[in-house]
Amino acid sequence: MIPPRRPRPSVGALLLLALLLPSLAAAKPLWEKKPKPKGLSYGGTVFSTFSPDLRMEGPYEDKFEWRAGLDFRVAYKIARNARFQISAKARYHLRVGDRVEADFFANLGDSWFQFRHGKITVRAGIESMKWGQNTLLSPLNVLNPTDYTMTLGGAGVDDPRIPLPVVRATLNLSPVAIEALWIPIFRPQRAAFYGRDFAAFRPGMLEEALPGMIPSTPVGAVNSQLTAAGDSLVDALVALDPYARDGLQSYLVADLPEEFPWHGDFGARVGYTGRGFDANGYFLWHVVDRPEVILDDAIRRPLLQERLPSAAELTALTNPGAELVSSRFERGITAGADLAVAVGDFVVSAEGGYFSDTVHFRKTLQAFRSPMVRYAVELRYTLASTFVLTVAADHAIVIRPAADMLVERQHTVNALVLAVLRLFRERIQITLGATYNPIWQDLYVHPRLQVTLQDRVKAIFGLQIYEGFRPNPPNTIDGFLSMTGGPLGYFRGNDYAYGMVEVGF
Amino acid sequence: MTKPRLLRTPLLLLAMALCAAPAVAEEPTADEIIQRSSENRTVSNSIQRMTLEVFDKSGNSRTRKITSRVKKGAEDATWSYVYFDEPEDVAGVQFLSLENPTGEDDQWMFMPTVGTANRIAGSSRKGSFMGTDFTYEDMSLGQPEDGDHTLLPKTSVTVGGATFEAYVVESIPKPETKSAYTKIVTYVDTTEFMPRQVDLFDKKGEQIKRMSFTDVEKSGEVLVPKLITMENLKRKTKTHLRVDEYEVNVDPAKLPDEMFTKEYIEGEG
Repeated sequence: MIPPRRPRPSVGALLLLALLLPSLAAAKPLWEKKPKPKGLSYGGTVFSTFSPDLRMEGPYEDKFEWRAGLDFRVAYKIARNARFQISAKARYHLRVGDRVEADFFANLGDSWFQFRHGKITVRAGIESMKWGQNTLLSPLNVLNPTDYTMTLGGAGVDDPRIPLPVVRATLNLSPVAIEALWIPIFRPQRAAFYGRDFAAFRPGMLEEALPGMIPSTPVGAVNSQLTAAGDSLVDALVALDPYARDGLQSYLVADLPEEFPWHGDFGARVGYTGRGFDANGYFLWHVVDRPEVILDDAIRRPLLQERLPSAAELTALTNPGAELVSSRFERGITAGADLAVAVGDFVVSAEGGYFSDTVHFRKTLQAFRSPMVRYAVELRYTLASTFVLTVAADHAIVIRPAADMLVERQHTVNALVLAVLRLFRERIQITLGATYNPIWQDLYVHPRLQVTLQDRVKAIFGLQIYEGFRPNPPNTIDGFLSMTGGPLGYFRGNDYAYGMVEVGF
Repeated sequence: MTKPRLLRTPLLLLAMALCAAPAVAEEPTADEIIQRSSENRTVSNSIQRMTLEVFDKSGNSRTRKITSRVKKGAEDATWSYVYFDEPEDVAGVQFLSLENPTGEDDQWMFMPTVGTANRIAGSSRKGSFMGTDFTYEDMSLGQPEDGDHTLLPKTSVTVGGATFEAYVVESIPKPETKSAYTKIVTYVDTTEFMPRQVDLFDKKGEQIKRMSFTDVEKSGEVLVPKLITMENLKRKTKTHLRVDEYEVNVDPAKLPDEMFTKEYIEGEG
């Protein structure tokens, strides 16, 4: 039998390889690691990423971003049945555009204590967890909130899951396993609302929209004063940096259904491992992580109509006791199942879930809830560790949609492909990922080249390309409200290239 | 039809080399040599810590440390579990393979960045194992039922500076094994009855790889080659599989059945 041929790298990749290979040939280990005490393991990576924006459109764009990071992990096996792990990550982000913004944070990563006794395993600590057997489009991957600021624009491949406090116990009665988990503390998703390329409110949106709301009068002096006041208001709003300071993030945890410890999530999983297949059933009673944001009419109506507040609205706005923006989280139920089957060189996996309460918004900026069903199918082909091709598709259905849904539609379909090719004994890894939403006509393409220069040193180059419908007119609230495309088109002006150096230790 | 031998772990390579030294009374046939050699490779309940050193043709190397556990499970099937200890970018990666006597093996890979053990396809025998010169097929070479065996004249073979008198067995893989090789020539030590060198030939009949077993030490009745080398003669690359620590006939309590489950490796992540 003729062995399968390896896919050929592109001419560009070969040229790049030709430039890099001399340095590979000269590669020597940077240092020798000392043996670690028995039971102890530790290590980490430091990295630096520079990512220029490839499409400058307008004055409000970020021009480039620089990220530096440190990941560290230490694990110790106290006894054969007990061990713990502590990990942490630190990130420094510098964005340079019409303004320069810097942001630093250091967080605990997966840090837990685990104890095994016979068939029972108990783990308590902070964890990033995953439900569902699909590797790419996974409807049941709902346990951890997502940090959307990690996923877009020069981010490379940072894990967007926010680790959560969790206690979980697994009873392993192979081939059956039963798991119960409790997430005692609620954490919301994290997103940039305003002020950067991948924020919900695009840079320039307020700068463009607010001056238009300043009325003109026949009196020139008054006009000047109003304009100056409007400019001051714009400056004050623009100076808010909700991403860096989490200034609006506090609104996302304003109203939880219950007080601690009862506002957490409770979940259960039953798994079965058969010959040639794995199956799981899931149940989660949880706080829905998207809040129903409620805008007071005094702010919502003028914003929608891009006009000045009326006298009554002004009175309401200036009332010290008024709560202009509030949010409410409700409880919901998620139930689902998955199945993975190996057939020759392929693994087929499928998973689906029913979500009793999902939050959506109308074009009137009013929230509503609806049940939702989402299912996904994934096909993965593997040629040893040399080549992996994954193709996946999912379909989400909002059961009770509103006629005037903001951005979203009743049906959402995504297709995703990810190809990974490892060459030269895994020194070179070429990855091509792409996702496409045929309803929104949203497209995201992410080619990536990783070169292992030394045993612990990698250089990574990538492109992140966004296509799709964009708001018309762009950078306005009106355009945002009337948008018919999806998030990738919304961010379409923000293609990024990135180069990264990563050193392991 | 014999089911194709599927993905194995480096443990089976080690198992090939952990041979109880038998007494050979008379000149055996090719089938007997392969059969005895195969029987002698059977190691149940073992734990090994190993270093994989991958050399390119300039002699530069990359190192990976792994811990492997092997157990004879239900229905005499081989269960193996590999944990990648170093370097940091693969630390915590785990691989579990459960031999299935009646079908394809069940295999899972756990990636710490994902957090779950995902089932992986099991029949990619020809691909490289983790960027080394070993393919998954190389991990299970020498199974008696996988080929037709012919005894060639005895010869002396020099491996690692030592010279041995060796039986030479030429094996032609059966079509159903879907082997990447057309011919495998094994040099089996006539006194200790273990393979010392294996030559592997491609579709054109040219030798492409050579596997050798050196630094052999005796531990009780077991012979342990501390170094297994696979050379790719065409690419001029090689991989060392060095055994740093080993335990054989391990107390079953140290290798409970639960350890060889998808749930266990998820718990180790």
